[in-house]
Amino acid sequence: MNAPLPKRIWQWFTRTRVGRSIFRIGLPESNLERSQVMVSSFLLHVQPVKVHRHSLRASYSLGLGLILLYLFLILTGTGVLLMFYYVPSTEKAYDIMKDLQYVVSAGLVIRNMHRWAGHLMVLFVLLHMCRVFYTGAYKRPREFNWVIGVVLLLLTLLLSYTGYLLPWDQLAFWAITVGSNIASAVPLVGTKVRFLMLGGHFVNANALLRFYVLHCMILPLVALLFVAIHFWRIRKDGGLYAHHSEPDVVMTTAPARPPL
Amino acid sequence: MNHSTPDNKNEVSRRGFFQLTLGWLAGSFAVAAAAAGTVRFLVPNVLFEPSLRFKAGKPDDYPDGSVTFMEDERIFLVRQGNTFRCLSAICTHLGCTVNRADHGYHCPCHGSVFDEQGAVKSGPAPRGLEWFQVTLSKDNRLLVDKNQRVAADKYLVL
Repeated sequence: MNAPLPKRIWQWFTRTRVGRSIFRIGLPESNLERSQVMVSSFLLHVQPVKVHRHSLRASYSLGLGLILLYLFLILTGTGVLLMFYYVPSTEKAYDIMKDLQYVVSAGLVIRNMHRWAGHLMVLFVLLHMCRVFYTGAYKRPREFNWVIGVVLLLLTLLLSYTGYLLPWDQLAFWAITVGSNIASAVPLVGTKVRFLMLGGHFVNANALLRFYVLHCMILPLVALLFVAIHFWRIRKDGGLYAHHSEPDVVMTTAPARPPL
Repeated sequence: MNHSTPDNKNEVSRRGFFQLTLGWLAGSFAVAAAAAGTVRFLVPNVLFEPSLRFKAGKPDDYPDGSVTFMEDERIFLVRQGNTFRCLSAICTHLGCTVNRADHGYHCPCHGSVFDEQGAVKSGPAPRGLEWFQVTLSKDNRLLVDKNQRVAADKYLVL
């Protein structure tokens, strides 16, 4: 038995105290060890130990949820990079946005990645919801995960909306003017909601700062929390939905009632 | 220690009842107070916004029959003969600034059309444009007060 060198190094490393404390199991040899690897690893435990073949078909789920995860990661990465330059001030914001486009190295690519990933995120959330709807993946026991999905849709729209103001150009200003006036149409509390949202009567310095904090801190953290619950529920509800893996629902007929 | 515990285990003792009630009351009060404080914190006490009451210059700055747009204040100052009026340029639909059109005003955002009196001719606007009070200050300047809404037929006559 002469294993190739990388494998021998790996086997030696996973037998050392450090390697064992990190990887616990090492390279799995049996089904039991394979499942132990999945359960004992933080990165792998998101995946189920076993997956139904049906749900692995790319044409079934279209990978839309995974695409959304990747878009979220792209948005987080590029968003953090943009924060190194961006300042939420009415005097500077627009100029900095232009600097990001024309002065900062790779700024144009990173800004555009953030912008396009943001647009695509909204699109793919809707497509993902269509897929879940048409394949019936929202049905028992997955109803609650659909509700979490709706919360994530709202968070995506709010992230998109708050990010819209940050370039501080004419489009941003009027879009938020119009949008915040829509909020003021809420009965009884509408104008108060608008005032709280903008931190004033107009789209102004306070509004820019508020939208910045919401866009960069509060909404992403809340979204992260709900994404985590969303993934956890998928695992708890038995992995990706696949028609034929579902337990048969016992069909019962209503007891016959005597004619009135 | 157990002298106050009743025999029936499902029954709540007097001490347990007060502990539960006071505990929940104190907890709810703390949460409510923190929430109220947080919301109040987010309502600004001082606003750095332009005053809603401002001077619009001398009456003679505006020629007879003119409709003057003031971008920062978002108003039109209308002079006809010796009468002065002030029309809001904020569309009553969703707050865009309306433009002067041939026989009235036109909103670029969603296409509302208003006539010379600010009344809605077409489009999604639910109400006509607002008219604001115009008075003359002691130093003979036009004084517009956007807090005071007036009817379309109310003029400042000089």
